[in-house]
Amino acid sequence: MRTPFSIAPGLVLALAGCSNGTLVEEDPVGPPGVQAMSRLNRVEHENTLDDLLGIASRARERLPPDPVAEGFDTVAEGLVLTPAYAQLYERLTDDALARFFGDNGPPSPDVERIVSCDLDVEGRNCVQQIARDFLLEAWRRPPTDEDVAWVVALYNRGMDLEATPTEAIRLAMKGILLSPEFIFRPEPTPGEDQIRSLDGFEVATRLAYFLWSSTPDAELLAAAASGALLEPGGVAAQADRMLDDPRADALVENFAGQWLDIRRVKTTQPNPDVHPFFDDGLKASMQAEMRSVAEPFLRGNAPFDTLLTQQKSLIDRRLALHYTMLHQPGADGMSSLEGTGRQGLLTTAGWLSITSHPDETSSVRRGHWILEKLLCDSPPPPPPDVESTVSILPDGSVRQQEEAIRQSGDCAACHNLMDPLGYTLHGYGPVGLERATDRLGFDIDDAARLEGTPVSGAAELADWLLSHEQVDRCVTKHTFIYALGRAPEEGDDQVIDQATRAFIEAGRTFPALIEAIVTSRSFLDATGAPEVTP
Amino acid sequence: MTWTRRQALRTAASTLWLPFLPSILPREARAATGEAPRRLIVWFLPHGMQHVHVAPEGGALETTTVTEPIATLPGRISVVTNLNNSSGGGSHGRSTASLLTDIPGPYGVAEAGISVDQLAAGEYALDVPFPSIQLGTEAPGLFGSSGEGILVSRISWANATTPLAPITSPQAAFDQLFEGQDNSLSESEAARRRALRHSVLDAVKDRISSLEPKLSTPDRHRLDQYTTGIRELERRIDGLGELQCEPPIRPGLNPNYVETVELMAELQYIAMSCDLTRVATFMYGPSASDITLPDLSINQGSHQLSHAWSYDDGANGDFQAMNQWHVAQFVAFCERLAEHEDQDGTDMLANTAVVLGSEFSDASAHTSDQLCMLVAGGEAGGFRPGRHVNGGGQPHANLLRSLLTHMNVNWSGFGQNGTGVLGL
Repeated sequence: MRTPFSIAPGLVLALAGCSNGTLVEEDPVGPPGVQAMSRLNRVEHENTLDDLLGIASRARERLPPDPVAEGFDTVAEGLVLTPAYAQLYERLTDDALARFFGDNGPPSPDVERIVSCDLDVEGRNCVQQIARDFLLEAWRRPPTDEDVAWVVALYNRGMDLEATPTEAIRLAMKGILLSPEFIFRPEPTPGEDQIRSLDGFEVATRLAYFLWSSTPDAELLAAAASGALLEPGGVAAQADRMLDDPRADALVENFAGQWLDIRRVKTTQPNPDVHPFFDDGLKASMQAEMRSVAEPFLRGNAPFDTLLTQQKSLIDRRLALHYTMLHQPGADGMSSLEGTGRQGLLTTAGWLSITSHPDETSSVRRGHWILEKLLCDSPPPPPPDVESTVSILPDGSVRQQEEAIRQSGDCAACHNLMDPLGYTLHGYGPVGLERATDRLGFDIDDAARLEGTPVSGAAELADWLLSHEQVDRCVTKHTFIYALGRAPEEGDDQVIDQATRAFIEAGRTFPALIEAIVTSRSFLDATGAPEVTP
Repeated sequence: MTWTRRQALRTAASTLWLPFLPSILPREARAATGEAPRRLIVWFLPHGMQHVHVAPEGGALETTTVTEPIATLPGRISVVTNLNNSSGGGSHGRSTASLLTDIPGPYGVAEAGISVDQLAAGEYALDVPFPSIQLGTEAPGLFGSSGEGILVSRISWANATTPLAPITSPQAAFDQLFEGQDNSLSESEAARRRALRHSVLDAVKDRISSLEPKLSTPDRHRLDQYTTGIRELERRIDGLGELQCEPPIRPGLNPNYVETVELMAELQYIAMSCDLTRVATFMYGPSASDITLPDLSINQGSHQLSHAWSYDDGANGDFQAMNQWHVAQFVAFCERLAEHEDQDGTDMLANTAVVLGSEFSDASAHTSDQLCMLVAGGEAGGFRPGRHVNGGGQPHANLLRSLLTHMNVNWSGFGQNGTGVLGL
């Protein structure tokens, strides 16, 4: 029996799809996968500083873009820290503290909360008090006496160097914010191949970075401290609360931003000769529309199906002009799409643009995207010895050209899977406009056979995808990777199965999927890494 | 002579004085010796150097449409052809990651080996504030959100599992290079501020030491890079005030692609001429970059052109024009080096090996077995540029070894496939 994440024995199987959607019934399971220590990515680093210090640090602008592994910049394996970061961190921390203390403007409203006593009067006791409170928030765990002594020593070192008490406490805060306990999310190893349950603070930290892309708030830390978090129902209750918080918009911004590629719109460059109006403003409008389609599902207000079928979206004046439609939003600010031939994500101008070449559509890109993102069945890159034998049709439609190019034996195996998915969306041009003819003037043919079923157009494609047996597990898998910051391993199979089942049983609602993941052993336990690196 | 001094520095540093070692010798001292440092700069042009677009027909140096700009710097740039990267080929990721490492990682996994620039950087790490710099652009790429994303966007590797991300914002690169240069402070106040910075960094190193025993081996390795970075920063803090070059004007935010390329070239020139670093890599974009050049009316993406050129005449013309533009930027950069007098009285280019390379020799077929590169300068290390050097199918690792020879760095153990040293 093939399990959904087993490695296919050969290329053919991989192409046909290693996953057949079968759920493993009973556990041949090993331990959950090993969690590598994660570094805060630049978005998390900024959010954390901002929430901690009550400032708008814009810290991400000071850091290079984070590597994306397994589709997300939350994946720990990709988040390598290189030596250059030491200086970047020092500088952005100086900047953040300058904002906090108000060097060039009003100080943060949180100064009085954090610097909570009078250093001039209370001296050492005051430093200890500040250290205890701030360490808990910054390192996301209660400090030990040694930790506090370390802060006091740094403060004293500042005083020795003729710093004022405020300068010295700032120096100590800088040290705290440059420490590995802040920059990374260390979870002490239980030892090779051992498993341990995470403590409440570690669970709180995982929850906060998953749902908020930021640090735990006071209530979450309090639940960790009192033990309430790890009592039955505790994690689910906090997750519920956190999903209702505005900070859960991070799921739209960062999870959907990458899973659904909303972020990529920003770097899309269609041919300006043909599409001179495709500027940053239009891109922002397109991203807003994509978010408006993703949001109901991700904020728990609608089932997954709406992502592909929703018949309304946020279309501002700029985008209405692009679509050549009237700007007539309803009371909720959304525009109705009924009667337009558009529905859901796969007909938004943003999505259709990022999956096109600069001046023509690409069935390959569109098909590949659907396979990778919705069915988790993307074909491997072209094999090393691929022959690029290309014939060109003297006169044929864009689709016929595409079909001709891929007919050679080497290419057909993969492309027979990818391309027909894209053909069904041929009625939408490279910047997302509906069209009756392609660039070469040929009539649009958007009929295709998908695994034997005739499908044409966006609505039928959505129906076909929503009834596909792999789609639920694929949503689960992407969410798992984002949540844990790693790809699932064999020992996580059962968790993914259970979460997929919970997702289906709850009518494909996102909070149910989140609850299943955050209460699973993959989320609540730590497995020790092998001591010898391969 | 250089060798002895460097060895002495390294020996001293590794025992006693590491954090407090002055990062460079005073300029007057070096001027007196009449020595100039060796430098290495590699530029990566994603899938831009097609064998059929670059290789001269015969044995002599002849320029093509793509290489035409090198004529403005006669006798200083060689066209090197027919080098075989058997670690590459096939995927964008492996071909890119193996270009400077000669190690083929597993498919789609961010693994390779130490790259040639990092080997050279390690040798001179104690002589300059920055052992090396990695720069790039925000060029969009096809693999932005897949596992190949890391492999295609890094050519410098500190070790088998640490690819070095290029800085893609010119402003951030500027801040990195010229941070902390404040000549308005009194000497004692500057010293006090340095001491304060040191106290924080010392304290952070203590945190790292106390955390390490609690972590698994792979996690400890992750922290090692941070420790290395802090040590490098400490040395730079000590070296502040010794640097005698005027920082250029700080670049603004969000320049476009063309502006970014120009600014990054300028920053490399300044970093080298101020001896802030001796090793740099620059990526025009990731492999499978999809940039367009609207200024030249090239509106199809680079990656699309890299396939379409082989069967579409229009695409072929656009692709060559696009690559010619990139070669012209490279040549203009080399000219800047050639116009700068070095400390030994020659020009800076003579002491610098400057390479332009691509991961594929035929991007439409993803092959890496007839690689073409441009190699400029390096006369001080025995290079004789201005020729057509036909590698005749030798491993491209042989060229990488030549670069290390130029840098006076021992290449034994580097890469996988080297058979000798390519005469450049």
